[in-house]
Amino acid sequence: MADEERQKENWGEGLSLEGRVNVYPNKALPDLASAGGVAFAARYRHDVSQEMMAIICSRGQIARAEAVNSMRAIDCASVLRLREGGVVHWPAQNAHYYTLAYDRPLAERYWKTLDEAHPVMSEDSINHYFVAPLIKALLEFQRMGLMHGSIRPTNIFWRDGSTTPPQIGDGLSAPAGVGQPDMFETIERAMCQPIARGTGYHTDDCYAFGVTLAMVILGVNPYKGMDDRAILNLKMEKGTFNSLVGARRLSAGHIELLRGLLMDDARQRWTAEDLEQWSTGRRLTPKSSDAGRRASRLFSVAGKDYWQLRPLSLALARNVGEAVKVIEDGSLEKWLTRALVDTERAKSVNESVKLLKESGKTAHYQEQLVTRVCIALDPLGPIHYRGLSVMPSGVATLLAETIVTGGSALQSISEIITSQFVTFWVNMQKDVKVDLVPLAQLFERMRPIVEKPNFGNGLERVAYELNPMAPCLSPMLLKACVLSPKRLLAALEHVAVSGPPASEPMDRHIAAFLATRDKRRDALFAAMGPGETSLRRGLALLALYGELQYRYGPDQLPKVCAWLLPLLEPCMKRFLNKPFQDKVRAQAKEAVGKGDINLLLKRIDDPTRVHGDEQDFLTARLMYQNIRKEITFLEENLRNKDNVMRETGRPVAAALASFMAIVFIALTLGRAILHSLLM
Amino acid sequence: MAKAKAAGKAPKAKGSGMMIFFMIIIGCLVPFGMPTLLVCMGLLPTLVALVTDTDEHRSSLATIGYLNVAGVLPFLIELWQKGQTMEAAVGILRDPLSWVIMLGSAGIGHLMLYTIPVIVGSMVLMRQEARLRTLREGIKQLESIWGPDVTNALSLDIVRQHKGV
Repeated sequence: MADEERQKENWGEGLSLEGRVNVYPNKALPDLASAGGVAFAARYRHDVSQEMMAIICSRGQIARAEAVNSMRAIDCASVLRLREGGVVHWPAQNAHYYTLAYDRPLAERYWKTLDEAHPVMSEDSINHYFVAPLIKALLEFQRMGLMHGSIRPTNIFWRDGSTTPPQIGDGLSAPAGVGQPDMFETIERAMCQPIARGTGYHTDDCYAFGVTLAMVILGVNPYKGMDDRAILNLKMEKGTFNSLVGARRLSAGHIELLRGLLMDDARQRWTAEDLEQWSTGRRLTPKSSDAGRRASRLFSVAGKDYWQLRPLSLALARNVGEAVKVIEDGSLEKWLTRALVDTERAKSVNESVKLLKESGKTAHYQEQLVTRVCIALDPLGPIHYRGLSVMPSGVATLLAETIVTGGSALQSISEIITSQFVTFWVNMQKDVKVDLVPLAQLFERMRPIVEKPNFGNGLERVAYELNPMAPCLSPMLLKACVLSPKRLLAALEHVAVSGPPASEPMDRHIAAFLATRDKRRDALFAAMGPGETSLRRGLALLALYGELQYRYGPDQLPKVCAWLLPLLEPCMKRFLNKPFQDKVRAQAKEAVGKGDINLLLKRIDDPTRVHGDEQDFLTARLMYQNIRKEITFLEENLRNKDNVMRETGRPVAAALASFMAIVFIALTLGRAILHSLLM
Repeated sequence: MAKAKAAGKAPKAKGSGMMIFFMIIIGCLVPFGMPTLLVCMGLLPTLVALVTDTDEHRSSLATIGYLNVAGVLPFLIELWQKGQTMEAAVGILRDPLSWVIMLGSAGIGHLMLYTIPVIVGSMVLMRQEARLRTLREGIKQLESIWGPDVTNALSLDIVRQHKGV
């Protein structure tokens, strides 16, 4: 009855999401907020019976739009069903936000916070009502090749002991790793900044599920009160399983399950398939411990003692000056060979140092040396470079985030790409090297792009190449959430309504966005660079936007045209005839009024008009020269008036005199003849 | 050297032409005799003009000569009608009216030489001044339409640079 009443309740006009879902901004759902943004009530446009929630990605994070189709295809009771993903116009802030519409969860959040305690459930209850449904969810993720990235107790909707399956909440409203506490991340991902973790692998989800399961089994957070660094150090020292479970008494089945899921070596970690086998009764035997190998004697860095490679690698990355010393004096190599008895690792370190030295000393040589040595010491770990710790797949999200926030790490990211750290990192991988070759090739392709300074290239282009679904990150379009070139002009028109925010509707981001998403030629953008003449820039911009309007619309863009008009002044000045210039200006204004960029282009860049104007100018120049000659002649005449009178008046006088004489002679002769005849 | 020779030849050729002209005149006059020659005394102004007119087109000679010949012609006809006798010729020359008519006609020629060039020249100069004003106006218009670069011969690229393109 209550449901029926709620269905009939009029929530007012909703905001349209892709024309299929209505989002209601006056119906906030604060309890369902996600890492990417707040949640609001939503309904299907034509079926109000379906209760939905929409997560508005308004926190400046780039939503994982590339995973939306995979997520929408997952129809599993233990995964919150994603119904729609797209851009919604939010009138209150005059902004567009990427929005994800999910079915409303059936229960509240299982854990409100990570520090709360829950009653310990029986092994059967956990296995039957919690583990089994979530194994199905993980199987679905694996089948779709999707890494969820946000599996944790606070993102699962369930009630202790409920027979309805738990539901995994949203994981797409922010980049993978953002919003996920470090304790649910693998050691190597936890070493990174959250935004630099990148989209991980299915095994990373299994690991997060393992930590979640351990908390559910124990009823408390074993890491309660510890900060992220302490948790990481503990995990590195003891291994995740030991650090999490410790001496607590668990059932044999759960120990086996947790050991498999919490393996720190991703190659040995259980996947969803292993979990399925486990659930059907087949027992697997994970290794007892995979904590890092300990050396026979310690290695001291910055006053602290290290016995294992991974903590040592992290310490070296954090103390570059000292790291360079121990690398260059050979003490690190000696320790690896003698104390750790790992000649292969020592050889890798030696080779990485040698390779860098052979390539010549570059800027930030010390940082580059330490980065390469750290990769050689801990190949599975992130790339540590100048304060950044980034997984190769996290370079993309880190770059996009840095651009959006205007962070200072852009130069370091650029150097990570140009120094080919990713290729080096891939080369250092042993078993999975083949799978990572495309990643290395992708970054090899990015290197020359970073080094090109012109429009349509540079780090901006790399950001769009590495983030295939990232919106245009141009500062003037950040609020417009432009995911496709099809919406670019409409967004610019919208932005221009409240006054153009920049001198021209083009910047390095828009150029890079179009070069990547619309596969535009570099030459087109080369004409827009700051080094080009304003004439070529204006015409190139007009040609580009004219084609975009022709292909994608909208038909009328008066504000964009008005924005472009001042840039076209050099194009008008190209006409040498001033009245014609004014005429072209008037015609251009007319085209601006119509909002037709192609008409504007036709008016100011008609080759026939330009050629005709040039010919007319040359004719006028010739005419000027002729007039000037005639003026000189006339001025000369006026200076010598007597000459003119003489030269023009005397012949006239002679002619007149001859005429008079002829008349007189004729009369005389006539008279004489008449006289002789009469005589 | 060759130029000097050419310069020397030109006056010589002019001089010989004049000589032939005078010889023809004298040759023509011989058959008519002395009475006709006496009446031809009325052509003295023309002879003076012939000597003094340095104009290339001989406008003064033509103006005075045509009218002078027209003034002398009635007396020549009268002489020929009276049988070309010395008495008739002297009779004509004794009559002051004959001199007035013969020399007056040349005087009219002179008068025309002084007045008509002034009138015609003034008219021509007025037209030229008007044309000059029109041309100056045209130049201003050309400059206002095409800019100052219409006055020079710079390339189109440089002209556009001047316009800030």
